[in-house]
Amino acid sequence: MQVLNKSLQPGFEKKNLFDGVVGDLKTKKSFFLLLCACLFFSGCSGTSNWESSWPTYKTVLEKNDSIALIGRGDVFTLMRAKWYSNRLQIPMDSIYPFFENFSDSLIVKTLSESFSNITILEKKYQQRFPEETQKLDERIFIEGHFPEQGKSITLENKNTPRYLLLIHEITLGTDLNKSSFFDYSQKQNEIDQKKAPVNMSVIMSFTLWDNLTQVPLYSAISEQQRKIFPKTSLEDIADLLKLTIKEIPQKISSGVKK
Amino acid sequence: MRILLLLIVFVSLTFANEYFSSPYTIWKDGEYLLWTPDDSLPISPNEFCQALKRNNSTIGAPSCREIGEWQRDTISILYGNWLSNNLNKEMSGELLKARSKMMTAKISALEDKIVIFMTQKNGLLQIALFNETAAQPQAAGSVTLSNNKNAIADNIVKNYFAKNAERRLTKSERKRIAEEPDPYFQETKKMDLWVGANIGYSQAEIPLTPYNWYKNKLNSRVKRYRVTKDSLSLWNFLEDESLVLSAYVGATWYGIFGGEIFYRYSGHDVKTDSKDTTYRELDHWKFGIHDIGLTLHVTHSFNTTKWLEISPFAFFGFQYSFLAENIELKDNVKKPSAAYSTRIEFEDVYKGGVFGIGSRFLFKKNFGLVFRTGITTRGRSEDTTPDPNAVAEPTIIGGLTVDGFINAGIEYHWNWK
Repeated sequence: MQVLNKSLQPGFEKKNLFDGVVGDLKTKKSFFLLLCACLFFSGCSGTSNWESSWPTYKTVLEKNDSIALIGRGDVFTLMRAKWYSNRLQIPMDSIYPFFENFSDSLIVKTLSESFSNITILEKKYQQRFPEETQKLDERIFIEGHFPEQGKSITLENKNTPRYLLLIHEITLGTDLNKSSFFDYSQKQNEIDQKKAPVNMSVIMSFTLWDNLTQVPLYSAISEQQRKIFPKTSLEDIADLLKLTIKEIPQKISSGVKK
Repeated sequence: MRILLLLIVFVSLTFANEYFSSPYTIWKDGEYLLWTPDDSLPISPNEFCQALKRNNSTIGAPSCREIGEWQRDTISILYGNWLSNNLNKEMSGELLKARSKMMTAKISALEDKIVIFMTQKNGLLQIALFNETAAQPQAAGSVTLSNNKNAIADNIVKNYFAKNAERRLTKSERKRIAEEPDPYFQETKKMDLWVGANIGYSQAEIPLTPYNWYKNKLNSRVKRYRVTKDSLSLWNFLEDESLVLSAYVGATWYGIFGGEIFYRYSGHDVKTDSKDTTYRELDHWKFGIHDIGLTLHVTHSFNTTKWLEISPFAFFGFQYSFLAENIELKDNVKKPSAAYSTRIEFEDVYKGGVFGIGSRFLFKKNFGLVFRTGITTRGRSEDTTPDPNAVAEPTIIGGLTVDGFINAGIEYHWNWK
C-alpha cells in the first residue's frame, strides 16, 4: 500500500517518466551504433563477384543459335598428377596426354548435348588471339586469349557463328580454391604443407563472346568439389568434369541482364 | 522574324544525351581532330572550328582537321568499327577501351590533341572524345542529326567543349610534367623532427563515463586548510577544469615509431569552502602543476595531396608532476591562523602515465597542425619501501588523480629522407 502511495506522488511519477526517456534514447543510440558497426563490417568483408555480364547482354541464347567452341582438351590442366597417377594406375609419363584426350572428348560430348548448332574448332585455336585479362570484379581477373576488336571469326565453310564459347582453362586437382587462382589479393597464399586431400576439385573459367560485336557477353569462374572416397575411380572424375561443363549453359542463361 | 522563330523551334528540337564523362582538359589554340568510321564526316572540320569559336570565347584560335592517318589505318579502322557497333547509352568508358596494343599506342601518341569520334546510328550522331590520357573515351554521348550542319557542330561544342580552355603547354613543360613524380608517391622519411606548442583544456570528468565516478571529488571542498572527505585524488583539493599549456620536442622514425619529450603547465585554484570563515585572512591560494614527461608514438601517414600529409597517431608514456604552491595572505593580516601554518602539503613529486590519440596535419612538409585527446594520471611515487616499524599507514594524498584533456597545437618540422 505504501509503495502505491509513493508512486502516486507527482514528483515520483515525473522522475520515472524522465528515466524512461533517457532509457529510450540510450537504446536508440546503442541500436544506431550497432547498425553502424554492422554496416562497417559488412563493408569490409566484401564478397567477390565470380561472374560478369556485358551491359547489353539481354537476350537469352536460343538452343539453335550458331555457336563455336574454342578451348578443348588443350586448356585442361592437371594438378597433383602423381596422386591421380597412383589412384588411377596410370603411369606418370602418360597421365598428361591421357587426361588431355579424356577431357577433350568429355567437353565436346557434353557441350554438343547442350547446344544443337555448335561448331567445335580445332585445338589451340585460341593461340591466334592476343592474351589479355578480363575483369570480373575489383580483384578478380580471368587471363585468357580473346578475339580482336572489330574482327569476327569466320569458319572454313564461310559461315560466321553468332557466338563464341571460349573456355580459358579447366584445372583438375585436389582441394583447389578459385580464390587462390583468380583473386590477385590472395594469389600469394600458398600453403606449404602436405596434407591428405579431402576433395577432388575442378576450376573452370569461360566467356561467352558475341562474334558480331566482339564483346564478352558473359564471363564466369566456377568451382566444383567432390569428396574423395577410397574407391574413387575414373568415372567419378568424369562425373565431376561433366557437372562442371554442364554449368556452362546454365550460367550463360542465368547471367542475362534483366 | 520568321527565321528567328524557326530557329527557336529548331533549337528546342535538338537535344543531346550524355552516356558518360570523366574530367578532361580543353586547350586554348588546341588541335581538334575529327574521326569517323562512316563514309564521310557529318560536319566539316571548318564548320566545327567555327562552332568552337562561336560558343567558347576562351578557345583562342583552334585548328581542326580530319584525322586521315587514323581513317586510313587498318588498326584504327577495326577499333573505329567496333566502337561504332558498341557505343550506346549503357556503356562506360572502361568497357569501351581499345584493347589492341597498337591502337593504345596511337591514342597515347596524341600529345595534347583531342580526337572527336563521330558515327551515325539510329538517326543520331554518336560522339566519343579521346585524348592521350587513356586508351578509352573520356566522354561519350549523342546529339540529334539535322540538315543544319552548323547546328550539329554547335550542339557538340555546347555539350563537350563549353568549359574554360587552358593554355597549351610548351614542349619543355609537357616533358617536365611527364617526368614529375606522382604527387601521391613520397618516400618514407627516415626521420621527422618537430618542435611545437599547444593549448588545451583538461578536466577530471572524462566524457562518456558516469558522473557518479566524479561526484564526490568534484563536490569536495577544503575546510580549515586541510580537511576533505577524501584525499585520494588531487581534485578533492583543486579545481579540475583548467587551461593547459604545453611545449614539446619529438621525432618519428621511418614514419612509424616516434618519441616526444614535453613540458606542460596548468594552474588550479584550491577549492576552499566559502562558508569556512578561516579563509577570511587569505588573499589567494592556488597551485601550479608542472609536468615533464616522455611519450612514445605509433603513427601512420597518408599523403593526401602534394602539400598535405595526414598522420593519425597514438601515444603513451609517463610523466612527473610537480605542484608549486602560490598562497598569499591579505595585506592587513599580520599573523596567520594556526590552521594556515598546518595547511595541507602535497608530495614533492607525483608520477603518472599519459596516453591518447591524435592527428597531425602537415602542410608543405614543414608546418604542422595537431589535435590530440587523451587521459593523464598522477600518482604517489613509491620510491622507498614502507618502513615496517611505522605505526600506521600514512595518509595518501593524491594517490590517484585522473583527468582527460584535449588540445590543439602548432609545430615546425624538419625532415630527413
